[in-house]
Amino acid sequence: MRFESLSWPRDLLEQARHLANRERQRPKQVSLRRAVSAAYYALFHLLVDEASSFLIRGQGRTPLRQCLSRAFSHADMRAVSKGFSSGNISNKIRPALDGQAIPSELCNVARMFVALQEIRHKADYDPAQSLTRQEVNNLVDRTEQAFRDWQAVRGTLQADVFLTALLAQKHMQT
Amino acid sequence: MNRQTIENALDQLDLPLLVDSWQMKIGLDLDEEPAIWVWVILTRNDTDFPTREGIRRQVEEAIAAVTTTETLLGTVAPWVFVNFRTVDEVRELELA
Repeated sequence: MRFESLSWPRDLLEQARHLANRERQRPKQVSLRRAVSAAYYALFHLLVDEASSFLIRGQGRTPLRQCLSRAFSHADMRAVSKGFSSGNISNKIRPALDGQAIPSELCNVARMFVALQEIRHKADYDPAQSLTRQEVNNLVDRTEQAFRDWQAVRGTLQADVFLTALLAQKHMQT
Repeated sequence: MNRQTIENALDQLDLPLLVDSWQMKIGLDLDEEPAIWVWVILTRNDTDFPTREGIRRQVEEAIAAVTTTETLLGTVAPWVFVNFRTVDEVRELELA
């Protein structure tokens, strides 16, 4: 059932906010870094869950959707998101948009995915990277906005194309 | 992509009084494509989200205006990452 998987992204977002503000005084870098990671995975799992549910529908298909959800690649999702947010949509998938413009809300979701992946990579792997509470809370705010923006566009043609592209664009023939 | 041109564009922005300054870094993103990181330094830590979003869009648009190039393959522009820090946080980072 979808409600179980939808709560996971929201729980991750809530955890991100909690970690960003965990210490009363000076925040620990480990808390801020984990907050960034939680925010990224909140949006990642939201999109993966939405895409899996869109591509495989019907009751009794939860195990199959869960299998499919493990086929998504962070790098491939990044490439698609860069295209959708910059207006440089791949010719592989552009025909599916049927001439429809990308709504600003969808641009924002895609853009936020790229931004979160970028900073999450630094937060997880770059010991020289320092974060601040203001910085991380701003990222969490923007991720919450991305969740709202997604709700505004889900079910539209453009959103469906985006979800399909996240998984399959790389493998499409031109 | 000229650093001075970008700095000039940011200096000319009409930003709210709660913006103390900004810091910028130019480099390569995860895809090894040109990218710009801007930290807007705020005088206070209670700036609301809509205000920050407005500032973020101003900064992104200002940079896009001086870095976007039209090519045969489409529009090319460096990726811009904008975030916020407070004056106190910057001071703490510098002392660390």
